[in-house]
Amino acid sequence: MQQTFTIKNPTGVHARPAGAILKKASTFACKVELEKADGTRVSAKGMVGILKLGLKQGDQVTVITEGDGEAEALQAVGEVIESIFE
Amino acid sequence: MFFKKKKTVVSLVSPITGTSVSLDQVPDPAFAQGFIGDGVAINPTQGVLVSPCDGIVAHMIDTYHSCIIGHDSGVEVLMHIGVNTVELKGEGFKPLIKTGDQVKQGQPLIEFDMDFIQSKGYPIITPVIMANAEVVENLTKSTGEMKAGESKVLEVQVK
Repeated sequence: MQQTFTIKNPTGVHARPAGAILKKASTFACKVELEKADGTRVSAKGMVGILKLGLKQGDQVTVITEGDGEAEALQAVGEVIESIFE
Repeated sequence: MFFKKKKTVVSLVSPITGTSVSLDQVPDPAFAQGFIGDGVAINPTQGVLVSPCDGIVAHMIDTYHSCIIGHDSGVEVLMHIGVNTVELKGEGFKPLIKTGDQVKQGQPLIEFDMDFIQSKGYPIITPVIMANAEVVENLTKSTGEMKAGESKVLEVQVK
């Protein structure tokens, strides 16, 4: 499953938001990946990968899930991605 | 005969000269509750961040207040200078390396202006944490006075 979300946090996805995404993604057994508009795809279960995307406010990112709990994971990770952290 | 695989242990030295304290001293719940990862926090007395081990710069954030060093064992160390310092947009921070660089233990990574950062109202306490908990079997933490690049601050037993 996949769905595209928009980054709303004014300072983008820095350490704290990345940690929150990682934490949420890690609670699901299924594969959870993030893909940026330029095609870069990383696991949402690794801090370095998430930070490497360098996501800024207004950027779009597609969450791709596959396996057990994929629908729940898609929704839950999407919610964190669209959260405001400040 | 013993065929038990010997566990890899990675020693990490303090990336900053200062005092190592428990993570719960960090005035940011995400770090204080270990939400991002387990580790310690350093109250700096000098404005230079050095590498805690030999490794590669896995990520240097584009506002230069945080970076991750990856060790060959798979251990990744996230260092985050100050709290909410992303808002300074790089001001007060001078990066000396970039993502992908090979670094040596004790090599300076980022210089930061402690007075400037504090004058803007940001704490300079610096969490030093495990960015990838899945490779960590056990983490031994040291607190107290630390000398950058020399004093052992964390010992990681790798899974």
